[in-house]
Amino acid sequence: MMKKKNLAVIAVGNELMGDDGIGPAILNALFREPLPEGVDLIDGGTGGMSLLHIMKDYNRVIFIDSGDFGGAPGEIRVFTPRNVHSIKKMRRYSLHESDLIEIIHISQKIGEAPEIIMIVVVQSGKIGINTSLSPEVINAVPQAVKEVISQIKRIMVE
Amino acid sequence: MSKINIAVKHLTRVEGHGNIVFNVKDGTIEKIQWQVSEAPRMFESFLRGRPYHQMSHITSRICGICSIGHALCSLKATEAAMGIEVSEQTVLLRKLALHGENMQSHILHVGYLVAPDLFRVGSVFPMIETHTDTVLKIIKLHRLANEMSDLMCGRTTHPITLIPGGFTAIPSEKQLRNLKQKLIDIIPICDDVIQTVLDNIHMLPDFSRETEYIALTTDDEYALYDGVIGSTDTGRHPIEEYESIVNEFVVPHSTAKFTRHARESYMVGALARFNLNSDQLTPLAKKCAKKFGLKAVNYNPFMNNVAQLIEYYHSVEDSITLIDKLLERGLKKKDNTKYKVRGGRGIGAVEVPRGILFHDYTYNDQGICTKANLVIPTNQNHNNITKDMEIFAPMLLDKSEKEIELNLEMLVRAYDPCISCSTHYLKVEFKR
Repeated sequence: MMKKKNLAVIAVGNELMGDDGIGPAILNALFREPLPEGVDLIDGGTGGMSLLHIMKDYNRVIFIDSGDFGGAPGEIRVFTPRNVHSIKKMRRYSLHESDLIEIIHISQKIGEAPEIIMIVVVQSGKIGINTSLSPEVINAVPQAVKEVISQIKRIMVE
Repeated sequence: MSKINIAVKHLTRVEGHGNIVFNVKDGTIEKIQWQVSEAPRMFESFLRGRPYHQMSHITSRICGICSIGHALCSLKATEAAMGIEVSEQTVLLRKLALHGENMQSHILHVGYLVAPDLFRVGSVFPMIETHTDTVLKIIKLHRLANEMSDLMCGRTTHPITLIPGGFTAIPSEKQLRNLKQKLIDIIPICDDVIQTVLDNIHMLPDFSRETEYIALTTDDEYALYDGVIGSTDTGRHPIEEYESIVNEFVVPHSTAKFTRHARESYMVGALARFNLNSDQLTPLAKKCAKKFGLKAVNYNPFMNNVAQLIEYYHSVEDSITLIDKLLERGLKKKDNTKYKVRGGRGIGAVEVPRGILFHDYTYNDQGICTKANLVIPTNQNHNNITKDMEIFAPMLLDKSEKEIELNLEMLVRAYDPCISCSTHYLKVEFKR
């Protein structure tokens, strides 16, 4: 069994679909921050099931994603997969429409999941064909970066 | 049933947006339609004015699944236009890259998108509870294909090492030996997945409609990277005649072009390749076809799923042979063909997972593209899907509306259509 790497921050989202691109936007901001040794920043894009292959190599993973938890656009939540259940209505799965919570569940079920998974989600405003984020969502980027860095520091010592 | 109104808007477990419309009144069918509602992508327009060395990178973005196939087809068109002949080593490495993509795409389709139909569940997610072992094995097959694409092309999707005349970087002999071992190790897992599909094959409808099948073909091998155009109706044709084979036309209810050749429609893809070239499959792939009782010519479009599995085997076994050849020859680090940029027209044709793909470019003397024509496999299948639906739907009238809908969806899905991209994001509720 290959030794697992330490920690990955994986952004999920499509930059061509408005606020769905918040994950990659936070990731870009993280590249400009001084981070502890052994943290990989990965753009998981619209990876779907391919996220399974990325996360299996790490002991700790922080996902950053857009989401809808009924908050105000730009509101940030930090949680573990255990804290939530998915209510995303996908009539049926396609390779471009997937459910991160379900993919994490599969990874856990087949015994490959990282020991620690944190999810940092920014409440989206508008999802649709557009290369820009809503102003409220852009304004959330600095705070989301702080949240991710504080999570990195917290879980690296666990 | 006196009245049926089925309107599947944005059919799922396919790539992109397509709708199924099926209306019946007093037992009479009023409308059956396969509508493609995807917005045009305009690639042919924005390729004009681009330099030759950007073409494969731009066109690979047409698709997140067939990006290697698009890049290779693009390179072949550019190389044909400029008279560039690549080395044997480059051809062998490119064939390996294409196998990686074929494996990747086929297992995604059969494992994640079709398998739920076999188990009568809505998606792959519930299968993790009911068929944990099968899902795990499918993931392993997918993982190997991803690793292989990554190794050959510099990354899993949208290749960066493939360039006109050769490669920017190639794997080491050690990496190839390692890949060979992984390919050998995956064979028993293939066997298990195939057995699971075989055990549930009765869930695929028994439906046949005679049609024409078109795919690349050659005397040398099971054609994927190279060959001439083969038709089950009209025999062999040079690549240069592709326009008179595809005969693109437009219909009011679709933003995608339709095609036809010797009959009212034709099919491309794994089943077309099987029907034309099954004699050239590797021994393991032939054994797999025998297990399913699949013989050429098979006219059941649902068997395209089975042909994809057979091709997964073929790609695994043929990749092992290709690696042996490469190792036997010894890898040359510098093996790219030197060339001079020149003007002209070139046509490339490659078998990508969903069927025969054509790229046709014209360059000026500075190597700037002045004209581009791309014919994508899924477009070539739309008309055949429609004709199948016209025969298949009336056979379903005694079923419930839900069953009819499922059967029609499964028919479209069997073609593995790749229409385009959409979005995904997280929707959650906190546990209270």
